[in-house]
Order: sequence, then C-alpha cells, then structure tokens
Amino acid sequence: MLKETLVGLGVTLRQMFKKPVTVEYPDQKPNIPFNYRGKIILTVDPSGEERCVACYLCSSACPVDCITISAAERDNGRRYPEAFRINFNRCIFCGLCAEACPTLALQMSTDFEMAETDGRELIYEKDKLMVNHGGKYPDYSFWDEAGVAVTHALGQGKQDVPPSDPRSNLP
Amino acid sequence: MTEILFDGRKVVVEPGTNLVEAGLKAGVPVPVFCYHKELGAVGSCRVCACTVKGLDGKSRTVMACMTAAMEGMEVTTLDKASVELRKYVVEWLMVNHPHDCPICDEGGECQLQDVTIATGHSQRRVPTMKRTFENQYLGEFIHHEMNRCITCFRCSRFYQEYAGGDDFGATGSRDRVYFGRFEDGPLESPFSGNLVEMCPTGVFTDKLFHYKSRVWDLEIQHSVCPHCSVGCNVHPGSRHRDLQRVRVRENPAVNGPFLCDRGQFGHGYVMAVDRPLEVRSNGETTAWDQALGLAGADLLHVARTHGAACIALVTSSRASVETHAALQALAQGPLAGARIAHFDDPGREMRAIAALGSLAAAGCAPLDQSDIGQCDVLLVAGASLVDEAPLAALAARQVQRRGGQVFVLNAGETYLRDVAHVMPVHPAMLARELQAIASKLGGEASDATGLAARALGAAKRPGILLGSDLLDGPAFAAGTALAQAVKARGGAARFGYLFPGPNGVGAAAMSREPALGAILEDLAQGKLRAALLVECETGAWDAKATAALGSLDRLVVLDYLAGALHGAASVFLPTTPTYESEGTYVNRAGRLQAFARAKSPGLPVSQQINGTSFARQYRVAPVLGDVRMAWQVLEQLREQTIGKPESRDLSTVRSGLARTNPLWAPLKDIVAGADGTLLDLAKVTNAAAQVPAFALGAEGLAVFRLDRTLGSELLSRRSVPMQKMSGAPSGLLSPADAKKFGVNGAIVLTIGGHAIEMTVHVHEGVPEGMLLVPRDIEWPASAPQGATGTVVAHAMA
Repeated sequence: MLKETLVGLGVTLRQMFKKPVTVEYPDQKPNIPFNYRGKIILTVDPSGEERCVACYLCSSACPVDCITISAAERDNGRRYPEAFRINFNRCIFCGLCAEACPTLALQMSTDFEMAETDGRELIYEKDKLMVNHGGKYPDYSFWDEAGVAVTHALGQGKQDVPPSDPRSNLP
Repeated sequence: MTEILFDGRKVVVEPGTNLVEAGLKAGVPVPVFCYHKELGAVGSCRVCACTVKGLDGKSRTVMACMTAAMEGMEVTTLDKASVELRKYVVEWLMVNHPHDCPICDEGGECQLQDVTIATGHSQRRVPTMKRTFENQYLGEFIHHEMNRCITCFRCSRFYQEYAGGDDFGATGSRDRVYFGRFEDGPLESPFSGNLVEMCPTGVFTDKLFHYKSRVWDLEIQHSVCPHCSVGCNVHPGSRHRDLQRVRVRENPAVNGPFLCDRGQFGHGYVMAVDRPLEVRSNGETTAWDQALGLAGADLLHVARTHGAACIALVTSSRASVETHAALQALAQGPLAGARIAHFDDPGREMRAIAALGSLAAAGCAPLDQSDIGQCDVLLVAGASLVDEAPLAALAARQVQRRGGQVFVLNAGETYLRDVAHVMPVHPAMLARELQAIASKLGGEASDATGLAARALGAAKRPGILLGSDLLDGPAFAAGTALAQAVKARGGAARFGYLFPGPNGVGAAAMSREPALGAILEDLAQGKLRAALLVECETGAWDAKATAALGSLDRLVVLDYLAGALHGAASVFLPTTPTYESEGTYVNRAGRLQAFARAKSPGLPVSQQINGTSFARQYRVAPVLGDVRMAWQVLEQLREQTIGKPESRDLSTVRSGLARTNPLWAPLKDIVAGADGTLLDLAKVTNAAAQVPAFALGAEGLAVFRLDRTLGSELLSRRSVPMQKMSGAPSGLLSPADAKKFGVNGAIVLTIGGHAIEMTVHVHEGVPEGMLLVPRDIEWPASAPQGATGTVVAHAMA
C-alpha cells in the first residue's frame, strides 16, 4: 500500500521537472503536423486553375452529408464546381472526402481556427474554401494526366500520341 | 430442360441457353461487355471467360456468351485460369483508356469501371503511349468520347442491325477501330438514345445530362413515358429538384430495354423556365386555399343560377386515369349534369373511341408492345409507326429479323421500307384494301394485298396494328372485320390500335360517346357559362370556341404547360407533369401502368445559385414547390363545391373507380414498377363513334395531319434540344402531284378558308391525291382530317 503510493508520487515528481507538451495558445502557436485534419480547402493546380472537377466523390464519401456541389462546364470543356458548399457545423473532419478526391483538389489543411459565434458563418461557400496554392501536392494536375483535351490539344497529353486516322487501314 | 451446376449451384435452364443467362438464373452475374440479350452474343470482348468441366473430365476455359448449357455441365467463374484471363482482358482493354472517370458521366453505372475494379486492375503497366481519337459532333442528344471505347461493337450492332440506321458504324482496323459517322452531324436514327444504354462505358453519354450529377445522387422512381401511347417504362432521374435525365426502365411486357429519342430527350418541358408554378386568380398571384375557394364557389354559383349543363369540364388524353375519374366525380350533386369531355381534340376523340369500340368488338388478344416483335406476320395499316409510336416501329423491325413478314399499308412509309412489304395506300382507300385482304385470307397471292392475305391466313402468330389519325369510319369497320376473320382461322391473332396521348385508351374508356364536338359548338354559340379545363390544349378547337372562352363567366384552368389558357383563365391552378405525379396511364393495348413521383416539385437548387454560392435563405418548403397533382386539385375543388370529399389519397380514388366500373377493377392492386395489368377491353361498354369517311380529294389534295417522330408531339416539342434536332416541319407529296402542281420545295395550301405556307418534300411512297402535313404546323380547326385543300406552288423564300 505504502509502496504503491510512493511509486505513484514518484511518477508525479518526475513529470514536474519535464517541459510541458501544451503551449500557451493563442499567445503561442502549436506545432501542427502536416497531415493534421483541419479546415478543408480547395487547392489549385500548378497553373493556378482550380483543381476541382465537381465529380461528387467527396460529397458521396462524406458520412455526414455536409458537402453540396453543383457541377458546370467552362467554355473549354473544363468541368468545375459552379458552387461548392461545406457545412462545417456538420463536418466531423474525418478526412474521407480528401481521401476520395481523385484530383487532389480537396485537402485537409492544418488550419483549425474556425470558431464562430453564429452557426451560419460555418457554412462555407466556394469563395471561403478556395486557396491559391496546391496544398500538400503542388505539382499535380489532373487534366495533364487524363486523356481529355482541355489543358492541352487532343493527343498532346503526357501519355498520348496524336489522334489516329480511323479511315486508314494501313498498319 | 437442362440441368447444370454453376459455381456449385444447381440451375435448370431451357436447352440452348447460353452460360451468361444461365449464370444470371443461378445468381452469378458473369461480367460481359459485348453480350447483350437483345443483340445476342458475338464473343469479341473475352471478358465472360469461365471454366467448364466437360464430359471427358477435362476443364476448358470458354466464353460464357458463346457456350450453350449442356446437361450435366459444371461451370465455374472462380477458378484461377478464368479469373486470370478476365484480369488480363481488362488490363488490355484499359491500355488506351483515358482514365478520366472523375469527369465521365457514365461513372457510377459504368460496366467497364465495375469490372475493372472487380478484377483488381489498378496500375497501367504498358510502357507504350495511348492511342487517341478525335470525337465527333453527333447532334444535341449524344455526347461522343471515343477514347473510352473498348470495341465491344454493341453500339454499331444495335444501330445498324437492330434499329436499321445506316449513318453510323465502325471504321478502321486493329487498335484503331472507330465508332462514329462518316462525318460530323446529328445521328439520324430516332433510336440513337439507346447508344447511351448500349455502351458499356462512357463513349456515348446523354448530352442533356452532361456534367450534371452522379447517378447515385439521383432521385429515381418508376414512371411511364408520356410522349405516345406505347407506354414505355422510364426512370426519370432528378437531383435537387432538377430533372436531369430520363432513362429506360426495362419492362419485358412493354418496351424491354429500349426507348426512343422522344422519350429519352423530350423531358425539357418539365424544367422549362416558362412553366407556370404560381396559383393565379384574375391575373394576380394568390394562395391555394383562396383560389380553390373562389373557383369552387363560382362553379357552384353558375350551376345554381344557370344550371350545371352550362358548365363544361374538359380534360385530355395526357391526364392520368385518376384525373379523369376525379373530373367525373366532380359532376355530382349541384354539378350533376355538367358537360364532360375526356379529350381536347374532337377528331382524335372520335377516333380513339371508335378504336376502343373496335378492339372490344373484335375480341382478339391485345397486341402490346412486347407482342409486336413476336408476331410471325405483322400487318400495319393506316399508321406511320415511327412517327406516331416510335418504339412500335422498332419492334416491327424485329419481326423481319426473326424471320417473319411485315406488311405496311401506309402513305409515306420510310422507316420500315427496307424490312416490310410496303403498299402505299391513300387513307380513303384503306378500308377497301383491308376488306380485300380479309376476303382473300389464305387464298392465292395474285397481287400485293393477296400476298398479305396469304401470309396472314397462314400465320401462327398474326398481328394487326392499325393507326388512328389516318383511319376513317369504314377503315375502323374493315379493321374489326379483318381481325375477326384472322381470329376465325384459328391463329392466335393479336389486334391493336395506336391512340393519341399516353392515356388515350383510359380517356376513351371514360367517355360514353364523343362529347367535345357538341361542347365546342355550344361554347361557340355562347350557351356555356363556365369551363374547367384540366391539362388540355385548345389547338384543335374552332376559332369561335376559343374566342368564346374569353367571354365565359368563369374559366378555371389546371395545367403544367404555359399557353394561351394560362393568361386567359380567371383562376389558374398549377399542376404537376407526369414525372412529378403519381397516377396511372393505360397504354394503347389496354395495359394499366402506374407511375410514381420521380421528382419533387419546386424551383431547383441549380437555379438559385448566386455567383459561386448556393442560396443562403433558410426555409423549410422549396421555392414555388406547392404545385399539386391534377386529381388532387379536383378532389379539393370537389370539397369546395359538393362538400367533404370521399377521397383524399390515391388509393381511395382508385378503389372508388374500381368499385363503380368493373373494367377498372385491376386499379385496386396497381403499383408503380411492376409489369402493369392488362384491362379486359371486352368490358368496355361505350357507344361506338361515327367517324366520317375520307374523300379521295379529286378536286385538290386530301390533306392529312400526322405526328412526326421528333418535334410534333405536344410535350417533347417544348424541349430545346428536341427543337434543334427535329428541324423544320415539311409536308410530303407524291411525285405525280408535285409534277401536276409544279411544286419545287414550297407550297401555299388553301384549306378551310386559310392559306398556309409550308415546305414540302416529294416522297415515292405517297399515293396521288393526298398531302401529309406534320402536326406541328399551325392548323385551322375548320379543316378536319382528310379535308380537301388546293395547292399553289411557291418559290422558296
């Protein structure tokens, strides 16, 4: 009985002389790891164009249904979200949306400072979600990889050869 | 019967069944790309590989679609050899795939996607570059993305062999096989929409659905196509109150897995910006309760002061059975004796009632959509199938493909020309031709009618399909007599008509006799005081009658289409179109089919986007979402006039009708999403209509109005892509008449006191003395079907 008490107090005593792991937030900013699941952002590709193609995979993966998207098409055939809404009142920051995103557009950022006094302010529209960088993956562009002629002419993609002539039977 | 063991499950199948179908029966879906049950097997994609243990005890890898089940066969899809083969097949099919699933509209219902994931292929190992293709513009309905192709040939097999199109096919060789047209341009076949369903991946996708939604996000319900009388089953898909696409719902008793372009791409009227969604009373927006109270009180007032007989209740063949029933139920108590018409076109009313009377009198088995293709001899008379009921034409084509014979007695036949014996017949001569066939049944074939008579007489499964717009009184009688004569020869004769609108049979069965003609006459003479028009058009009404609508004491209009009536009505009550309603239609063979609500009413979310932000008003009910089904409104109106209504929900409306008329007994158990139930048309007791006989048009040209496949049908012609694809309407004329009148491109037709300018085409299959005019050309009501007009050649502007 006495022994256990002394051992326990010993642990407490040892910890008293270690540096604390907590920081004096907000005076001092905590050190957040890059894979932290904070505020969701919509990133841009290396050319500065929005990456999101409004494929609805994030909204489908979302277990709490907090993502609403409306897809549209630009003049050059680029598919994009005309409107994109995340309701952070509902979001549980599980990161399934970012995992589902095939174009690396939607990412979890390290930003966690989102407190509001009005819940309506937590409903983020596209303008509040868009950022002007590529997030964790600065170099990727879906349109350069896929064989769709939007950012490049048909057959000029990374893996494509110029269009074949289907009228010819020559080898 | 053959018993086989499929993945350890015993299954008994018909002898000769291929292993894909046998697998489905055993509950094992063998992956397929090139196989389709309507197109048959070609064994080109190699993905249905499975292993069969033969009688000699050795195992072999075979293609399931190319192998017939044999007694005692042991089939497995799970052994290493076939699993690996399928894996490699998918890997090489994916070699040139553009990997654009995130932006592909097929994603989520893509067979290639499913099978690729199922086989585990995830990384492209081929070091070579990908071959690419230029895409083509294929019109306003179909989006072409050729790089996704896996060369299964299902598109060209459907388009050329099944649907008879000749402007689309395969070109090229080895890995450059290309599916498209010779040059860019709209696909000519009215069945091109099926390419979307045929393609196992995203080469052909619905342009109206382009970049709109994922399929799993769609609100989908079982519905019935409202664009003709065939009654094809559809799955309308909507998201956020936006109707985005219509796809086929496979109903083996009706349309099978096919749909025509009118049904698939004609849904624009539902989301039309001019669709009336507000309740209006005397030109002002008002609330439902107020408008209903006002309309009810006014109808009651008119009935009490002037008698119910000066109230007209008119609906049309696009209204559901429940709406017709609710309208009839409204004419009770103080409104008893009100004049009811179930059609909005006097000519079509007459013909529909005559056709229903003929079906009831002939006593043959019904010729439903699925029966057409099973006939060994099919006689089509007085109908341009592809124009009036497109899918019936597609089925008629299959008669010839299955070794049967098709005889077409029609003017201006185009679609069935290559598969049928076509006899160009002037509608005024149709009765005589049908009589000739009936008299020669089973006799010697001395001429064209003799050939048809001999075939019909010898047929095991004969079918007779008559039109409606091109039939006159004698033709109805001759058709009935012919059907009876064929039936008397002992064959399993089937007999059918085409009807106007999706619920022509339902409307005709509700009518005791043609009533609209008399109502319009009284209306024109000012004998009526009030009218309640439910989902009907006034296009076929006499100008005097239409004008008289304005001087009525009360005009209550229920509709979902914008039109002249919308502005003229003293009370306008917005209703829901088919895809937003629950109800029942009766198709042209008497099949009762229920439809469920596939789209919630109201302004769609997509129309409420501000810049890049969704609407930020917080509300419970959708904007402009309070539109009601017509039968509901009529029941509520009944509450205002007669008192407490008996029926507040669909089942009470249905059982009420089933109680009062034994014909409608199947209504009690009807559910959306089933095969539908055939009504016993022998129980129809309405009086036959007297349809006047057509004249040959000796002094000028007998003019007949006819639907055209795309562009003339009431609902679909409001859809913008449909307008772009259907082109300008033009008449059809015989070469002899064209020469006689010196016609070169355009004419001025004087008919019924009006002069109509139109373009005409010369057609070999049009008999002399007649002119076929598409229904979407403005037409005076003073010129009924078959009226004689004079033609003056006119230089093209």
